[in-house]
Amino acid sequence: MAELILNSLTNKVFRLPVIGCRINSNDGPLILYHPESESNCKFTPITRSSDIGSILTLAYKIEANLYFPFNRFRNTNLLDKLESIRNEILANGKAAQILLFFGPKPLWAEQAPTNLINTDIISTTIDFGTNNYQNFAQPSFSYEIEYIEFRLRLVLHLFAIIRQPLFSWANSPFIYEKIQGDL
Amino acid sequence: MRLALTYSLTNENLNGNPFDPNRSNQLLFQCLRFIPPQQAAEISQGRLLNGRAFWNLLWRKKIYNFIISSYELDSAKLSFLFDFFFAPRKFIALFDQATQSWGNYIEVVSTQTDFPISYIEDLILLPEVNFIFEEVLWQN
Repeated sequence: MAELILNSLTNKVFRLPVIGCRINSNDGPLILYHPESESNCKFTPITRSSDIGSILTLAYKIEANLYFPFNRFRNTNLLDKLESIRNEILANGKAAQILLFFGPKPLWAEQAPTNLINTDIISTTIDFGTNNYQNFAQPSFSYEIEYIEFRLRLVLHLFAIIRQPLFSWANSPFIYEKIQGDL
Repeated sequence: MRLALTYSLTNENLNGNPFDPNRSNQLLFQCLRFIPPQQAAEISQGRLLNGRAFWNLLWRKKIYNFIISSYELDSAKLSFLFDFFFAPRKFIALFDQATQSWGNYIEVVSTQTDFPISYIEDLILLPEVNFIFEEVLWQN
């Protein structure tokens, strides 16, 4: 195991604002961009304590909450699309695939914001898993609509479980990073 | 606590035999939780018609209670535990940390009727098995 010395961090800590998410379904993808800044994402371990007092990690929960400043629910088919995917999840137990994007846009995302202010050259994607992953990724989501500061907004909760310990985050299929030039 | 589980489908008796690392039908586990063997007793007690109290020790038993959690389990190992649980003769061997050696096989029986599996946070991805066994023929 190589030593990892986190020094000389100047200009090497990248700002990676979340820029959107993509939920794939049998009817096609639903892609949402421009969430609010309080959007967040975290990996939480599911642990058990042993008889000698140690803590063992059995799996990880991946959770993200995305806040979208959106209130044209009636004149768009956004909620219908979300309901369509939700019904698909009810039938299959999980969504086809959920991706969360940070930093510069992926190549295929034509309508994504092109220039992000004060960001660097790394983009990161968190893959909540697909149906192809056996036994360890169960992507799903729920949404809510809330009224805050004179407006309605959509809150999208993304959720997944990874059973396998991520012993190789560097090669993890769930988080991958790309240099902007590769996009 | 490291322990070995093995079973016999025939009348083979391993009780008291030294641990054999090459035995088939055997798997080793590092238990999430191993409660030190508890001693319990069945006692007949009461009072006779003439007023004298009596207290008779019928038998004593040693109880093994351990948990094998999901980080050690896959479908093959779960299948083994299932076969182990329903085998007619079951044996365990314990690893002694102090002497760094394996103890002899101990024959155990289960007082549980259902396979004791549960799921952490109700996730079928995270099975956990909590065995409770009694040692056979333990005397004091």
